[in-house]
Amino acid sequence: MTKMSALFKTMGWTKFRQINQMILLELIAVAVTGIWTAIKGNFNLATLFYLTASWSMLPYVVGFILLAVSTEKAYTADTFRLIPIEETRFYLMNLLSSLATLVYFMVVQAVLYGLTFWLGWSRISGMLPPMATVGSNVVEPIIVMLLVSLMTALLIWSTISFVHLVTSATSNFLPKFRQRALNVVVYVIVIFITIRVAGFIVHGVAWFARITFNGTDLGQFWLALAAMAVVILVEGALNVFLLKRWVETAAN
Amino acid sequence: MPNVLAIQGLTYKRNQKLILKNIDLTLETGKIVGLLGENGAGKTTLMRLITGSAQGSGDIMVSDATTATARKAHVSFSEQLHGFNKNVKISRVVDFYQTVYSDFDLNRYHELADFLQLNGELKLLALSKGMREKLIIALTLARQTDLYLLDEPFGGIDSMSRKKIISSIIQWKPDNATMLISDHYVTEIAPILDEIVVVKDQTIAVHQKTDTIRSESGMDIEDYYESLYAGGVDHD
Repeated sequence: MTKMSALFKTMGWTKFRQINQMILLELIAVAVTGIWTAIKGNFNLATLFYLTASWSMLPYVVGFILLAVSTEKAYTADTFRLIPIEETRFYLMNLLSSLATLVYFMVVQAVLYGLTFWLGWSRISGMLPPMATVGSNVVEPIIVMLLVSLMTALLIWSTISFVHLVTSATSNFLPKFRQRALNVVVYVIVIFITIRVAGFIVHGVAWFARITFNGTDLGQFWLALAAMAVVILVEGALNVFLLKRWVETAAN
Repeated sequence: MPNVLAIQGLTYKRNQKLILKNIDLTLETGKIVGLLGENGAGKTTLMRLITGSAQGSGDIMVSDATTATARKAHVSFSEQLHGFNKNVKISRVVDFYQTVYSDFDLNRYHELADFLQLNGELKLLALSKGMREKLIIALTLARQTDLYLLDEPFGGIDSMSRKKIISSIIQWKPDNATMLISDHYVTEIAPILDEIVVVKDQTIAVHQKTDTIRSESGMDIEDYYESLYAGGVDHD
């Protein structure tokens, strides 16, 4: 049997490579626009920070989509599905390798932000509010924000997987005739049901948070995280069941 | 001899169409078996069912392993490498196999790669169909498993190389392993086959030793196989 660490390593490698390409493109974009700004005579110490801030969203979105595509591809490719490992572990390693790659991307962005912020500090510092107005306890909100963004990524990926795996499994049973049209109908139905069920769970937890924390505390966010975790676990269990019982790989 | 593969009552339907029904098949350890049948007969599907890539009803056992996950550890299947990015080098694909398959023998791969003249620095997109098939053969046979499933492994390979590979296949197969080969080049593979299995009319129509076929029917394997479709042989 294949070890989970070995699977994590191999699945992570492809994703790591994709994200590095995104980072490289981002750096090229920052360099090119930086040079262009310098040619126009508008370059100052804070320019690189502003350019990094304005370019970082695009590689994040594209990288996120590429990671989702890689994650889904693994479920129906013989290259991955022939690996002798239990489906729950397979599913976990696929999702976790995507998450680890996303964390890596965020760390690189944080370094880029920090570096360009440090370079432009003398100019940027004048525009910042006094430290007293920022507040003393900034650590918890930052941690919660980071966790929310990571959990959101996991939630989106597991929901995409759920829709993908349900449609993949049902397409085996549909007649070949007009299968594409039927697949679209199945996609719409599954997406609608998934959004309604996930929404129901999240709203339920939000209601619980309101009555428990009286709508003012960071505790609401912690409960939102818990709600996301519940949806991710439920979808995860269903995805593993679908992988075990119904989802086939694409034929050669 | 012990059985490496035992299939009982295997049925598979897809898109409301019956592909295979009530398949019963046992293969002994150490054999080279030809899996024959027309295009669309269900040869690839049968292999995919054995590996767990397709989901049917019935029992499949490979070396005492009954679950799909456990079976995968005992089967090496010639998969088409669609999970890899086309820009990936052969050496990276080999690293992947070495990492995820504990039974992958790197020395054996290098011997096979030398024999098949594979250059590890080439990218997948640079490979011709024949070279790609050679890579798939090398990766599949470099694993040390009980059952090898080669699904039309010689497509796109020139006839000289094909004959060379077929004649040397015995040297690459571990003594106690069984090899199931589906192929259209019946005449070329016939000399190395111990048995043939013919998939016809959604089931196993024939499972016979090649020596028995030759001695009882007086025909060579290709003529015998073709006669099944002409209705000239009673194969009960």
